[in-house]
Amino acid sequence: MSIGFIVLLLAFIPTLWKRSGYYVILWLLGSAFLAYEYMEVLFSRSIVDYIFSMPMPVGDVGIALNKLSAFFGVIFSLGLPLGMLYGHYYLKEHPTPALRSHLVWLGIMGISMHGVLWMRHSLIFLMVWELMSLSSFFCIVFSKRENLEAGLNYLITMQIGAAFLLAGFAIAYLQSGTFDFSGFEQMKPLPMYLILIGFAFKAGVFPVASWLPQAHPAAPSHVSGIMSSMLIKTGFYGILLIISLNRFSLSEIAVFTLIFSISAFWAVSHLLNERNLKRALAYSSVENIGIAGMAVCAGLLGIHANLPVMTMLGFCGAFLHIFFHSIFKAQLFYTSGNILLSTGTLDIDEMGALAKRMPYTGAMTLIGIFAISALPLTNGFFSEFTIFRAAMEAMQIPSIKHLLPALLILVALAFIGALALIAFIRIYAVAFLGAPRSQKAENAKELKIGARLSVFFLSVAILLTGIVPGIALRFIKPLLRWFDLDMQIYAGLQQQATQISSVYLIIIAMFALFFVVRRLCVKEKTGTTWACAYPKVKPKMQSSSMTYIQPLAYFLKPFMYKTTTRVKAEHPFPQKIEYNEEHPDAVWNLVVRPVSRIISNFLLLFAGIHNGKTNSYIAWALGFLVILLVWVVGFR
Amino acid sequence: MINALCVIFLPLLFMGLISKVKAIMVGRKGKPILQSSWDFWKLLRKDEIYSNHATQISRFAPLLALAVTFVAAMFVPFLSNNTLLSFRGDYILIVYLLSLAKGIMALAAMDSGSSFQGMGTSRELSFTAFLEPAFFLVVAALIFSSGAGSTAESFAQQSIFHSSIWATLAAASLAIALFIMLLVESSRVPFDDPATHLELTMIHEVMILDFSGFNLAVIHYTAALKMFIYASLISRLILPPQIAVWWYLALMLAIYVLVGVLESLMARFRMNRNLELVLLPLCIALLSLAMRLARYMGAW
Repeated sequence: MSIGFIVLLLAFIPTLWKRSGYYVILWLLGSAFLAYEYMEVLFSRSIVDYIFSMPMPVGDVGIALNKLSAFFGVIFSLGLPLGMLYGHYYLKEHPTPALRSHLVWLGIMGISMHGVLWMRHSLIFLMVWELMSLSSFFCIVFSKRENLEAGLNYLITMQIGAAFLLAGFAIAYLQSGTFDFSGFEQMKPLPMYLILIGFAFKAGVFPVASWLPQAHPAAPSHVSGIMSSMLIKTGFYGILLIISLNRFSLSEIAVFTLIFSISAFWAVSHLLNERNLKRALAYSSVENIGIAGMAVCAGLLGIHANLPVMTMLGFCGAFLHIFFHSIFKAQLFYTSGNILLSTGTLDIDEMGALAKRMPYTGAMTLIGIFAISALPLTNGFFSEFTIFRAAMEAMQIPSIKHLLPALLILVALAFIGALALIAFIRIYAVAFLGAPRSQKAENAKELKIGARLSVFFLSVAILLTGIVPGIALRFIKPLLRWFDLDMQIYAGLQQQATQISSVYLIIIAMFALFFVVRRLCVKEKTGTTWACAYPKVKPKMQSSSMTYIQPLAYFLKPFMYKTTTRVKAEHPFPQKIEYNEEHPDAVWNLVVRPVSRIISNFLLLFAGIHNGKTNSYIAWALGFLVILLVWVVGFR
Repeated sequence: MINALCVIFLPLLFMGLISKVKAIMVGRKGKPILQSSWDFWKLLRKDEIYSNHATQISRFAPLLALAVTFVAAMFVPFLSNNTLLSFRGDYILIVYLLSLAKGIMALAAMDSGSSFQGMGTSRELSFTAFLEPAFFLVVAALIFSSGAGSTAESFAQQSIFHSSIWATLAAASLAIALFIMLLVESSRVPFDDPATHLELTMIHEVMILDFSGFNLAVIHYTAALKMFIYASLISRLILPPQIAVWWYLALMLAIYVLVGVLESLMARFRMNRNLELVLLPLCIALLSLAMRLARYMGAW
């Protein structure tokens, strides 16, 4: 533990001279030490324990790792340095005057993300948690005024979440008498729900996920990549921590299932309409957390129904999905960062034909898009396969109580999966294919090799874990054993992974065969696109991102919230006709904004107190003292 | 092995059958049944022409789609019930392999920057949103409390020639659901008209507007193969597990003739109401599952 963290702390020294290169090297080194430590805990030793005795209100502080936190630790220690490496090249192309403070906050964010996993003492955990929120807020703001609103919104949301956590921890302390996480075992419902809600704020679950689509597009790409692929996982880590220590009733599981599936559906319905590349990815994070949550629910359902196969497959699917999501989401955020650097826009309707101008980025994004829509040959498929199998296992039990939530998981997953496929195909097709839709896309150029390096590593990881999912299964094996699951079923799943790999090999071999045949016997010519013999085809005539989903939008209308502005044709020879459609976040516009307006209006009633006159301030102080006196004397 | 041979030669033959049936229905003599196979060979030998905007995706997407559909077909029982590949939960892989084929073809269609192709893609993809859950529900209804693991098992175990009337009814309704899915997936009337000549009203045909030569042949074959997979699943669902091959072939023939007859008798539906009908298989499958569940709970 100590060496890794010391190296990470040493990484702050080069920031004083704004040397982000050395900073990244130190981060790579430190993360390697930490990764070794986490791997050791995951695969051999059961637990590492340090106990510090602190002055009385705090007590003994346990700093320890278990298999669950080691699993997340491995993800962080592999993902963070790649993010920092990407950030190094991103910041070169996208310079900021406040590089020094940005690097410092980035480092604090990374260290506190690791720290959250080590702390087993709820008060200290909360302090590290707050440090993580604060530092990520500064990373989002990135010394830009226009980012301030999104950043503040994120910070306030996190504070509300932390308030829930604080209340939950406090009640848990009152009931168990210890600040240690061992006190969370078999909790009373109230503190448990408070803590779960608190973690849900960070994880990005439906009613409280509005910060994601705002913060991610504003933040610089390496920060949004790190946050979306890893930081929100700390929230999920908390949820899993509570789940691993408690047992749930069937109605609770059903409610969780409903929340997670609504969350995923809400995200995917926004994702279908989104034009901003990074905001679309942010919605997709909510969707993927929802899917992982559904998998956890399938596992819990299996425990309740006494179906070990379902339990095993559910939890296995959840861990795999978390692991894979951290790979492909980071990859997609970094590629979208590269697109932003090269075109200067995030609006997919201003892109088009990027695959021709940036062939490397085009190919890498295709891999990421396939992974995120869970298509075979990439890693996203295998985790969804496992979750589907878990839901299908429920068909073996005749009890309707267990069957209905499982059926909900099954249908929701299939529907959401199909919608996500449509949404991402739309994004790729509009942004990368066809003719360039604007001057910006016309001038796009491939970036230098440095900015493509992290993307390359992550793409290799996607393909490797996709084609040989057995690797990822071996990685989560100790975690599954720690959760006390049936390892015989694991062996069966491992066998299926091999079978799927061999199926993939057949596909690749056949594709190679067709490819060679086609190469040998086909001559190619190029010509203009067929447009019913209309000669003046313009790029504007292509399907835009909005027309693309029109048939679905007709059907999903009740679920799609939109605001429109239009200038109608009034004159027989209209000068100007305009139609503008936007799909803002419904929860934000219809719930959060009105509520916050009511609160701020209420607080404005007291604004008169601050009138800037010294005499009235003295009067308030005097009044307060009088009230205090009356109170104290009155109680005597 | 017999399945593999069947997969290679039969799809195009059956496609020829449909056009023959349609011709006979309107009183023409029609082209020979082997015509679609001859067209396939002719196209294979031709050169290709691509749009200026096209990237490598449109060059290789049809090949990948074919490879993937072919591998999906290896899991499906055709002439014999012993499939080449099979494992527990392979229906998930089949669905996702087919959607990979669909996804890559959608990308290839958008590749040329044509407005027509974008239209076709968005129509075709919007069907997927309801067909995927429908397929899973059909399988869920099939394996409900039967313990079957793979596609071949679950489709073979069921049949409408069952002692219990309810099981027969459930299997028959599932067969209808699958038949509607077949019509949608292989873009036949009433959802799409493969013989239409106006780009604005096409769905599947407009997606492949800019393909020619070798790749066009591959695309036609892939579409025929996909239809064959669905038809075979329906036949295996209806027939009991141990039955002579001739019954299977006769039933396949009947399904293709039915498609042809439907095409000559029906007009296509309004484009923007299509999706409502695509929901139908999902509802049927849900109903059938509910029926089985109620039966299991001892409702009647």
